[in-house]
Amino acid sequence: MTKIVGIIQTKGGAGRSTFATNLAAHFSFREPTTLIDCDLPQATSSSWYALRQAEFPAKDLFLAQARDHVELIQKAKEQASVSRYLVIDGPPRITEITRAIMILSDLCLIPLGASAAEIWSTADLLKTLEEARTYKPDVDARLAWTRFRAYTREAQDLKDAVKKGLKLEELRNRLGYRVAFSEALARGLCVEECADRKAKGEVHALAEEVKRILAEKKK
Amino acid sequence: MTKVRKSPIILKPTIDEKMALQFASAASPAASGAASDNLTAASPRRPTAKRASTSDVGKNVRQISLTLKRDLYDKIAKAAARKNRTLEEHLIKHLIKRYGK
Repeated sequence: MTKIVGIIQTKGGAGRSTFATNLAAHFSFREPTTLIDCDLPQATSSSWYALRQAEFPAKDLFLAQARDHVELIQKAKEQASVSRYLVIDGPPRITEITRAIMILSDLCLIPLGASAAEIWSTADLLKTLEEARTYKPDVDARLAWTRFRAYTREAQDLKDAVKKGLKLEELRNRLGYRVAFSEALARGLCVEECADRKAKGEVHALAEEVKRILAEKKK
Repeated sequence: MTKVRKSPIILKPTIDEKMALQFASAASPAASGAASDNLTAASPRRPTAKRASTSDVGKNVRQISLTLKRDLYDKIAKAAARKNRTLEEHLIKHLIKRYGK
């Protein structure tokens, strides 16, 4: 069964496209995967895909774009017949499209950097998630830490505050604060194709965790 | 025996189109964030600035100056005097009558 992962976060620059592109690339190493870019006209994921296909054409990675929720549902239905995984890169707003992603996804990931601004916008997103659960009780949304500097006091304080305040499940694996992420994106690569071994390890572990969560879900 | 790589079997997920459309269209103001006191930088709730009221209903907002021809000015001034009003009061009264308060 095709599994759908939605990347949602209302704060810009939180790492949605970093997550989406790296997850899509990781999944496509083994199985057909479609990356659906809903963050238009910014289209970071689409630009990454264009670069990637020009340099390293992958036959198991596809791209679709959706400008609104109706188009997204249509594209999801179409791509579900050709891909094993759909990775949806959401827009930085709570719009109809973000709401549709919540309902369509088997797993919603909320990238969260260790900054107060990102935590506030996540708190806003939670209200919409609660609302989504009145429609679909099993909406599964989890926080995914990005640019996390585990050795800093600030990151630990924010993590504790999030644990107490947001009460949302977190992915066990986190992405650190590494140049490799922005470099890979700019070159149409995924971090697993770069030299930074720590960054590679983080993405691999996180993507495998996401795969496990999806595999455990009802077939 | 040679290994044959099988292509994965892809089954369509059950995309609940109706539900997704329904929820997407039912946007509510719940997502706008709530005000909160006693917030720290690490608080997961967004502090909202207490803004002064922006409503200026009932307040004078702009002065308008008009250039009138002599005969029209005289007519208005005469009518205002008849009603025992200043020229401004008389004009405002007429504008209110035409456009409402």
